[in-house]
Amino acid sequence: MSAVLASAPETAQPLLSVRSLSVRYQAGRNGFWARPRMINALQDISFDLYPGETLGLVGESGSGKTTTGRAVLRRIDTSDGRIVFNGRDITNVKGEELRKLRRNMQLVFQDPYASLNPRMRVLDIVAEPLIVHGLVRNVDEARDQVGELMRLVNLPRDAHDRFPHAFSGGQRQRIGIARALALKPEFIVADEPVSALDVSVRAQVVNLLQDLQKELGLSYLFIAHDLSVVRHISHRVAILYSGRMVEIASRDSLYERPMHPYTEALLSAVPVPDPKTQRARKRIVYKGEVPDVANPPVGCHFHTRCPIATERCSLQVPILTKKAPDHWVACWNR
Amino acid sequence: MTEMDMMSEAALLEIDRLCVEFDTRGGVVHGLRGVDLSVRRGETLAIVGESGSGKSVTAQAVMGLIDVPGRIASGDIRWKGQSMLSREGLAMAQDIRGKDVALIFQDPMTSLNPLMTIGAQIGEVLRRHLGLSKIQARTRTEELLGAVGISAPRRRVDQYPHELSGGMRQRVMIAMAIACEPQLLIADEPTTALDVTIQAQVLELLAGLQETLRLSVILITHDLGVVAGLCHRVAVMYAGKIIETGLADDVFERPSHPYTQGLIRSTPRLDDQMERLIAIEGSPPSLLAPPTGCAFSPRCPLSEPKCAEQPPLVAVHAGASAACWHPATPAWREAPALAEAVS
Repeated sequence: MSAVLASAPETAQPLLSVRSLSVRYQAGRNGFWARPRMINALQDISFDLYPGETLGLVGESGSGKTTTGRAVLRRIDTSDGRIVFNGRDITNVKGEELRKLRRNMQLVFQDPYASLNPRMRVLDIVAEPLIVHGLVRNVDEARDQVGELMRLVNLPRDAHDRFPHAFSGGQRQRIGIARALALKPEFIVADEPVSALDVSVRAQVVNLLQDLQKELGLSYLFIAHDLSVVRHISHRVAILYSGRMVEIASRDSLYERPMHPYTEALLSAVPVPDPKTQRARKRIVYKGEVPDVANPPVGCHFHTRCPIATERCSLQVPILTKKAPDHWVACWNR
Repeated sequence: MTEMDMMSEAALLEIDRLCVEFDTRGGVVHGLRGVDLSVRRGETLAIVGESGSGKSVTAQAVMGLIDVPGRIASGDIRWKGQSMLSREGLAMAQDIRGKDVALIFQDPMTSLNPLMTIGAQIGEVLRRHLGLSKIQARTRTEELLGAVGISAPRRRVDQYPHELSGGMRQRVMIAMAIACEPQLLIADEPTTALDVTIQAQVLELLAGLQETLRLSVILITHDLGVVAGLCHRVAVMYAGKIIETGLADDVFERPSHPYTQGLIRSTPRLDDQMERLIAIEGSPPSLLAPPTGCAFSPRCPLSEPKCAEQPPLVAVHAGASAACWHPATPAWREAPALAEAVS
């Protein structure tokens, strides 16, 4: 077991540091001669991830969760800001260096049915990253390492020679995790890793991710929309709304003392599987919907739905500020 | 209302030992293997289960949507006591479906016609079932859109589905479903495709409509949280059978079947911190060759030789029945410590 568990984050050196990250997409144009429209998918995102820690990234569809994950993995280009991994600025790393860097950061996908090639054996799937990065020459050399990975994710050893269709959703997700672990990364982005799975199988995968973290000292960026799962697995949690980070805090602080009105609404909207508690809970339902990312309101993106919005909110973008120990909020009125 | 009062009131819809089979290249898939259900007036019944457990097939059977290669192999569906499957009942069933019984699907984008305006689609229902004129239908459509909380209904009537957001589309689906003032509304995963805050809005709308229209609702979902907030009774399905049913409060507080117990404890909760989740190992059986005994026994910690025989659904305590030879026995210990699990 690794010694780097979630130790006091204040003293440790962050594994990943993101500062003022912005991502803009080009989204077609209104006419042939018109300038292309730009969509701000992410604006001014900053956070740290410490070794052995899980940072939960929560938001509704279109809030920029997946974009954040892909940007820190350097799978899409950033428009602004800096990404520092292991003390090194990787914002503009290219070519061979980027390839080497990727050995250290891996991705677990959402849909285990779409992310495994149906024509490849499990052995080939899990061995592929090893071959691509030149750690082994062919599949046969990888056999032992793949066997070890299979053990790590609790798959039977004889799974080797079978094809993905022979496995259930939970087992496929384990194959995806084994593939991500093949290069012994320190950092894994898990993009909705359990949302496509059945309820009874979700717990298996959540437990596996937690065991692997303890055994291998992994750091996770855990992207999900399910606040209950995020609470269970994360040490710290960040909430995104319409491309901006509205709140980031240690888990208990965020869930017990949410400060941003959006976080409050989000938490109160999650149904609790207990009729008595559920009836007693006060639900905050805000009118309206998430603004269009192509055409967001000026100022705070939430002010159109916010019950405590003042004039300032519709003019100035609130800055993420520290309001309590390890608790940062972007709101003018809190 | 107590369970006894509910029993005395006549059931609106009764499903009696319903079996549905699908012919596939691999053989016959037994989608439903003898399902008994009843829904009374003004009641909300939740059908909970994982994918492949048969919850949607049940809804489809009621709506007459089981088509080749599927067939209703045996059993009966009765509406106010009259069979919908018998020769005499077929005509009546045609009339009821879409009018007295309405269905809301999971994905509003695929169930709305992208080439028709919202108004035309809802109007079609009104004109077909209630024989309204074009102008009457338009006025009524505007009222309905208002009733489901769509702002500026006059403008929305002439919009196409792609111009609306996911939550709006689901509201349109609900407006269409309640257009003929149905007595029973079947909602098949109505909020699964929606974000949490929008889900809360839609659930609130459904609860409100149920109250004002005195609707009976069958809510099909895999999300136990959604059930807890909205439903009076719950039926838990596993591998094409109902394995536990009862009042929602009872089932959540004292789940009898090991599967239900596991399901509740394997779900992380917002209000409760567990160190480790209870994981139900394995996965549901294939319905190509369903086990003859209890379908859950290969994954069940209480499994014993007797489980090779199918346990009947019997009353366990007031308000709840379960199909298990060891009902109400705590099945899941605290999860093993990390060291054990890893070694």
